[in-house]
Amino acid sequence: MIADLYRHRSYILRNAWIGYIYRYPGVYLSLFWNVAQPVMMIALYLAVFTLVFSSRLEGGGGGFTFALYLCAGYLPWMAMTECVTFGAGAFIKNAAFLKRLPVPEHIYVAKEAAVAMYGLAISLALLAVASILLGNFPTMNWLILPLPLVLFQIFAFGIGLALGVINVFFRDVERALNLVFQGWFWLTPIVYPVSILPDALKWIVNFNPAYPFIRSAQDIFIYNQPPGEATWYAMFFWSAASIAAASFVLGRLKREIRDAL
Amino acid sequence: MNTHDVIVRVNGLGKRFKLYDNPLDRLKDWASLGRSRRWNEYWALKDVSFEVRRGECFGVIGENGAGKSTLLKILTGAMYPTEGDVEVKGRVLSLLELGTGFSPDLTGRQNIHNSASLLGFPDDYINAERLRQIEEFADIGEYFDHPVRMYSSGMYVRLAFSMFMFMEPDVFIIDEALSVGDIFFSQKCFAKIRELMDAGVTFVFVSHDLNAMQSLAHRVMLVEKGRCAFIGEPQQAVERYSSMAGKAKSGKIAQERNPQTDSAKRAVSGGKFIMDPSDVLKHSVLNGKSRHGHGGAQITALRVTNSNGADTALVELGEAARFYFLVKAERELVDWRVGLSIFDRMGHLVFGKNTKQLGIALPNLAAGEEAVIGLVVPLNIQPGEYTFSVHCGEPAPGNINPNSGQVCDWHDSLGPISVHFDYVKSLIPFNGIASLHMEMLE
Repeated sequence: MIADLYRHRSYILRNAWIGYIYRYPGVYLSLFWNVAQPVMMIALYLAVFTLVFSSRLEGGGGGFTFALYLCAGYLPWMAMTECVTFGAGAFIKNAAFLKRLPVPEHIYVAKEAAVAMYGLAISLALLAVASILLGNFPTMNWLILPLPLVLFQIFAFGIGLALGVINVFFRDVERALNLVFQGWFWLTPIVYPVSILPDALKWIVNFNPAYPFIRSAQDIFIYNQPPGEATWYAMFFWSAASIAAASFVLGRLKREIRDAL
Repeated sequence: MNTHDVIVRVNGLGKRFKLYDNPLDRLKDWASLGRSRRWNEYWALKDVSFEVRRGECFGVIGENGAGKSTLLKILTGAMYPTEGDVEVKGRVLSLLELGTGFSPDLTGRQNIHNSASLLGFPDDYINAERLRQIEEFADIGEYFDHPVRMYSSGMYVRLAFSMFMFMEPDVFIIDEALSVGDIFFSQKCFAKIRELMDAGVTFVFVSHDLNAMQSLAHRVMLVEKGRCAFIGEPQQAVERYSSMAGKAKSGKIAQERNPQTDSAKRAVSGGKFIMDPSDVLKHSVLNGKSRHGHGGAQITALRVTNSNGADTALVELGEAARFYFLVKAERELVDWRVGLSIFDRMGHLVFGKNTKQLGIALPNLAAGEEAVIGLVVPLNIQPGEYTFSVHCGEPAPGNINPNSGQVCDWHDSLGPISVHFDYVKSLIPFNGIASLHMEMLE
């Protein structure tokens, strides 16, 4: 599977970039909209949660800290859901290619993962700029940040691929995903810190596959500390498990995907 | 045959599709971990075996739905076989893919790079020299550097075809795509294909274009309902295919035939049929799709042969096609005629003529009587596909205008019949739709 991805790397990366640039079809300023979207979002969150609600995180931090905390968790989350959702639809969207070309199926899911990565990289860069302007200066720990995020996207790629395969046979998967993501979002400490959870519910986050990745991003970006050892293990475990699940599903159904499309 | 010369080997190939009546059944099957089978099977291909040698052009023909595309997809690797072995030595490239990988926002040049990477070619495969050859062959001028979405469909095909022609695979798989584009470009493509063939590139060629099949293929396989019905000489395969197409239809007509009329046999000329009515019936190409008329007589069968008497849907330019009409009178027929019209790809009437116009008076028929009329026409018309219609008529009652008549039975949309010409080998004898008689004044 990896060898196929490597062989088609230039196609995946190039087309992901094209897909990203032309995400808003027919609009000349497509790249501008790609940037304007996260700029607006970050600016709004900063304004709303700093000026209107003046939310604060426990353990201090300036007035902007909560809004930055929210963005640090929300942007990776968005990239993950984007990758899973578009990944799940990738086979159907690219049915014309799959029915005719001898290309490995999963490169289309990988392309969606790469699109999400490009988007994440740009919005995080914007967040970093906002953060610096607001006095939250970068540290050496920021250099670690790409690793948990890449692991998160690998996790998302695996889930997207597995669901994408199943979606070929049961097209309800895409619909169901929206519901699942809504519930999952609120179960994950993104808009709230894990500390506010009642003790009786705290254990749940340990079984939440998204939590270690989000937690790492928040730790590095907000609390200026590298992820703990257990968090690293959890991240490697979930991304490996996700890839294993995807390989299993793809292995079982690969021969039928193109028949059913 | 040297075994190391075999470049494509297909052995006992079968492709089964699982058909579920209801998507929930599939879920139940999955839940049972393979213990239940709620699907119906459909074998698109079964027991197909053949070998293709290096530098050979292997043709595949068959009716729609016979399994030709499934076979191609399996050879390309775009579909997995259910059983049997498929072994292809080297890189396969399929024209099924013709332009599939093109992205409308990229220029022609960028798309060449992009498609190459999609097909897994290394990045440096499209070097400056190859790109120059592709650009030159496509011959679309400055459009090569314009986004593909601005292309006409002809330019699109040119770009796609040129790209594939210069990718140097070991095996080329060509499907119907060959018949698109203008005639000049297709001539160029045919010449290029011959050049590649001489250079040892192997071709697997699937088409309904029997002309192209005969002019390119070394051996042809006839696929019938997913099984290999024949492998051998192109001429034989094409003839079998043409007669198969006739056979399938004549079954229906034989049933419709009224047994009472069998006794009423009489010749049109000299007390003898020019062809036995049962032979006409057996090889009838009538399809009953579009038929009208006032009645009084019926064309119950029509057989089309070449000058050697073989059933055919393909003739060389200038070669004569013979049309045998089996006509049955429903009442007494006097001063009647049969005729034939030929229509081109755009539906233009190219030529039509009946026995009356030939100055022939057909003998009167009594009710229930049958006659076989043969018309022979040298097809001096532009190479390509044609449809034809046949009709049987009589004078309009009470009308003395020689050009008016009444249709008894008219069959439309018959054929197609292909007129073939090898542009590479010989000089085309005329330009335009059809040949008129022309000579130089002394």
